[in-house]
Amino acid sequence: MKSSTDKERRRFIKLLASGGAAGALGSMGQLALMSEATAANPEFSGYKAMVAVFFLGGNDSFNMFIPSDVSSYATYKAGRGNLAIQRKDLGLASIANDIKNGTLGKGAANLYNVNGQQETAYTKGFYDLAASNGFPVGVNGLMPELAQLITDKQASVIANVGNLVSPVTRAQIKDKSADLPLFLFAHNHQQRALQTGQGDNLNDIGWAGKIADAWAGVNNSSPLGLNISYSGNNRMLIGDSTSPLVLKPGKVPFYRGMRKDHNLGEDDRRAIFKSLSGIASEASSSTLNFNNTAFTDSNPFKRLYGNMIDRSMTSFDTLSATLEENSINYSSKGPYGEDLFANVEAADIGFSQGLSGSFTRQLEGVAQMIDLGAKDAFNTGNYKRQIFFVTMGGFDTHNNQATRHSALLREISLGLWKFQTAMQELGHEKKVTTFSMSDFGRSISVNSGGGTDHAWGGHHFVMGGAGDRSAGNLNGGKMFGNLPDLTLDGPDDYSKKGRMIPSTAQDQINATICEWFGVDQSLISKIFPNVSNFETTPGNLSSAFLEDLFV
Amino acid sequence: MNKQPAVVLCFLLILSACGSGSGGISDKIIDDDDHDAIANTEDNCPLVANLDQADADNDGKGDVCDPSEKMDKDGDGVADSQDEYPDNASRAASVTSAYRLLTQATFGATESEIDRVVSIGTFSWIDEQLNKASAYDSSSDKHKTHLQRTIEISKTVDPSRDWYLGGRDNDDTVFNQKGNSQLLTYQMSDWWENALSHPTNPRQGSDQLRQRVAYALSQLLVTSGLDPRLKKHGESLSYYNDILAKNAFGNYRTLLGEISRSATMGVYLSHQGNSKADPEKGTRPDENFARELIQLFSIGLYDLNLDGSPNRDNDTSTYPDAGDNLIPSYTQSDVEEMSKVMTGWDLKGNKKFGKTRTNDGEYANTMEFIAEYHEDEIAEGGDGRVTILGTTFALDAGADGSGLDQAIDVLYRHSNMAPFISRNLITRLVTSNPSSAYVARVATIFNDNGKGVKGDLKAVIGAILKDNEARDNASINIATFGKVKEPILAWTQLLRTFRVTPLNGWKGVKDENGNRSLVNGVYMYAKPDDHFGQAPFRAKSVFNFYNTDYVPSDNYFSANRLVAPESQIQTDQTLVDINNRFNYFLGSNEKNDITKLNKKTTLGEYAKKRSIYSAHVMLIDFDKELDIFEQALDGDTNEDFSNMEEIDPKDKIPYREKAIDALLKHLNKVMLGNTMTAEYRASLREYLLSAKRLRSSNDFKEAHNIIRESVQLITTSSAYMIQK
Repeated sequence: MKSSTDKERRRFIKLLASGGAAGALGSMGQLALMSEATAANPEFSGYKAMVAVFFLGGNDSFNMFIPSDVSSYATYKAGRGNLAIQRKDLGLASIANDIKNGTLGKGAANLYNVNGQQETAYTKGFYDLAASNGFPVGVNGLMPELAQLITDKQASVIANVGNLVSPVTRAQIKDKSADLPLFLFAHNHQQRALQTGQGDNLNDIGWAGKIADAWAGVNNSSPLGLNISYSGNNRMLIGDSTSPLVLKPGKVPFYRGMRKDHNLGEDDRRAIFKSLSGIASEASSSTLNFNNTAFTDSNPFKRLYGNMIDRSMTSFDTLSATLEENSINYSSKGPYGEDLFANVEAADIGFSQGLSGSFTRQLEGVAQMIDLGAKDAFNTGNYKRQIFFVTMGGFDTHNNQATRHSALLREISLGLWKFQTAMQELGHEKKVTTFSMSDFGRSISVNSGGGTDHAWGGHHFVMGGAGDRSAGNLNGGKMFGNLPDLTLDGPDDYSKKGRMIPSTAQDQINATICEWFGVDQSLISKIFPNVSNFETTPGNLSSAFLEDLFV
Repeated sequence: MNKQPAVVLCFLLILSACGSGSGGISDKIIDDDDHDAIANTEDNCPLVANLDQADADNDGKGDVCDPSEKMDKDGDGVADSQDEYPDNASRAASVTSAYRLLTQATFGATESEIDRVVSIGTFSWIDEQLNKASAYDSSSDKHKTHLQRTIEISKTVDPSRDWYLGGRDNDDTVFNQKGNSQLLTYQMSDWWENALSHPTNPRQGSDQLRQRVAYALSQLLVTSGLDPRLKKHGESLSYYNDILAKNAFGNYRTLLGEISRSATMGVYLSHQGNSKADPEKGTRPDENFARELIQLFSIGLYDLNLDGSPNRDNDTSTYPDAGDNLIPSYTQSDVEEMSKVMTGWDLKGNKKFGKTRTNDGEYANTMEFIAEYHEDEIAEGGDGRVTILGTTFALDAGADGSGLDQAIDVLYRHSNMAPFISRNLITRLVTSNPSSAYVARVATIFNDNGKGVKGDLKAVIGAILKDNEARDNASINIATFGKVKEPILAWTQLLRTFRVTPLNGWKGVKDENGNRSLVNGVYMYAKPDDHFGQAPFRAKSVFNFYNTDYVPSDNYFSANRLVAPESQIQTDQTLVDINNRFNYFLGSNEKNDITKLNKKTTLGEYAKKRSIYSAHVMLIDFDKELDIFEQALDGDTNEDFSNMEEIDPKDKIPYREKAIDALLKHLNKVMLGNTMTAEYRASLREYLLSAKRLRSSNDFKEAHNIIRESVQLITTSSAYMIQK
């Protein structure tokens, strides 16, 4: 069935500069892209960090933020049926202090508890923020901490966000004139579009990678670079000449038997180890001297591997030495009184199973790296910028959504709270902006397995600042964008199953945050070339950004 | 060679002969040295008479004088054209050739297998493997399937558990019906056996190529133990592994049918319990499996040419195609129609249709089809037919009324199947960036194995491994050829090289009295992904461990658009973890080290400290290496390692130096297939000769240090981690 329209075909023409696609998504790497790089290294006055939180699989954010007024709720309920969150305010105010003091009631005392089952807790109700915040959506009962963050103006919500190339209307979809992103509803392609920052080009390098390329020498050329991932080698952070430092949460390791300047034997070991992979040796106290240039291998694979090892060694030399001297002991506690970044127990949250804790552990690592960077514990003399990438998996809830999504929502809420608390305790809350992304939102209609399917628009959040809406900081506690009409086959539906056409592009959020981060407009328009399609005043790029997201 | 001119000439000669009156063929008229009536200039064997001009390999030299055709000068059974040593009956392949083949086709070369390939040649070895006995020849022989062995292991390690609903051994009910998260552990133990081979169950893992192909297939037709339901039913993954292994040399169409019906895939991509649309409840069929079946398991996102490149001109036989055009191979509508087909399937024995949190259904079996829940479009007023990729068929088509085979057939007919699958298998086994021609050659075999059959995987695997691009050692020097080794395969290679066996006598699971029996003959290493960044059947998503289109951030790779997927997961911290894990393992799991050096304990005592929670409960040995070292050192193997400090009076060379040279020669063979460069050897040698930390007052320990350090350094070097 090849019923592509002209418009779709033009979309495909933008794909791939030439042949030789190595796989479904083609290869990347246009070296010429950054040839007119912007000023190599802007001057920054203070430290700032962006933290991108990616929910892998497509988060059903329509069950995170639920329309609270009567008629909108009725529309939502009609589509969602048994998977709808009940329209019942659980009363955030009664536990606000408990969350902050670490005295939150455990087990059955949790406000969302029904019968100790997370499935029923999932739909029990929400925290109505209409009265306190003028917020038109409530927050799922499993996320009191997130609701509190919004109340405290340290988080805001952006409605109906998705991957877009240009604004799209249902009429355009119907008459096939819509400028649709490529391969809608396919996981890897939608993830890829968010990584390249272009819904119509899945072959480019990452937008954060491009920033790193442009800001060559950032952080005084620290080997750690600009981009740090706690979740694998993600394209969003991959540039042409830069690639992210990829860490795992938990204790930072060192190369066994090969610590730098540790002792003579280990120095010898380092020298031979590097030599065998064709890596230039450092001036060291090693008694042995190998001629590395003798076999700098012309084999590109071996050279690639040698470079990987070299980068790894250099990074971990720096990291493990710095971390040894800079451990953090938080005095703040988590909502249930646990150590701040400790994982909560199943009994605490009143679930039959515990949470994975992976999200919290990644954020713990991020918090530590932020602290080190902000203090310039790496002694670079100019450590000013970092982009972090963390993920949570498991959001592709095609079935058993009540069971699976409930655990995820609880973990998101706790993780975000712990991280924000850590930032406040360390004094970095104004330096950090955290924001969410996901492949797509999910269908309002429900399938026969008690789950939802791939869709498009969904809600996202941004977190940061001190909650005072001061200049240059997050305008917290607000709802940005436009809530969609959730009617199936209605005015905002892509088709008939409740796949919402987004009204805000993820690029718009990301561009706005990049602006806060210090990315200048010419670089922004390079890394998000489609964002200008959202200008409300033609020719004025800023008009495409989310006005007021930052004060 | 065109036969026509010779025939014509022959005819003319006869005419002339008849006309000359003198009888016989006159060779004064034309030059025909072998008198076969074919002029020298036309004769494909000018010096040997061959009237029929037979030339089986079509290389212009007739069979009777062609040394490359059917000739076998040394009579070793390997045709001279295949024989790297045509004059030596005891060798047919070089060590390097053998090593390269084994790296592509097994879980790691061993010295004995290298010697075998050297002896019989690469093609013979490949044929041997393709025809080897497997666990699937008979269900009751000693060669166990993955599922059989997993069940055995479970009972061995945890003998007091009621593995069956009826009790401990009541095996006419379903194994692990209630679910148990330890099953993943035992499933992994079974996986290790087939990868590493087993000393007392020698059949397990004897079919290395089959198991290696099954592992490659597991990265294409992905299911994973990280799935929340499969977590408690590791036996489902063993069952699934059996499907892959059984069909590895079978037919891809059969394979697709079996995985689609498997409980494993039904659970993983949620078509188990998928049911027809219910407009009243507002539900409709789940699209998950439907989508990935099309996108990942069969035809991919856009049309391909025979060589796997994008088909831009609507002609699969011309490539590469110019321009940027991509022709999408399916639409969202196809996915929605497909999702309707994928309804009505449930776990056998499930008491309520589609129940997912269930202790009733069978996870290690096919699903069953229940027509009542299958889409019929009645509620929506449809016609009960679906159209997928332009083909329309009834939803209840097929003998079982499920339409499943019809749906898979539609995909199977697509011209993308051959290049999509062929290319994928090539990149898992041989090289990340195969040439267009290589892919096309293999895809051609996929389309037709020579006997009119599409999807003959045995023929496809044979074509992949026998192809010149894979076999020619000249590929070593082709910059774009090769791949980064998967960390797991580097690990299995190390284990196999050093003769790994289970570490016997580790502590099993407690029984009802709190006692733990000692376990023998079981490999235990549940979570290699903690250390290696990947683990078999533990992918984090259906997209496998790494992206097939991953181009590393490296100028050469970017500029030439070369991919290196396996490098995507060997990130900064993972490289540290891998390095440290090799370091730790080599320093604590070697037999001589345990029993004679550091620990001075027995293997049994050592094993007793380990349990199902321990990593790599496995034993390697440096016996051979110690022998080689000592032979060169003092001429015997009595383990006194005398002469460590002495110099040979005959040539003034220290014995230690000779021993190191002997060791390096050996390690070069068994770990690198004789590909060690002169500079690499010089550096390593210099280190071993000079590094103070290797010295010890205990000569045995010193020898051991030298061996262990060499192995460690080689294993973590780029020479080892890159497969050429």
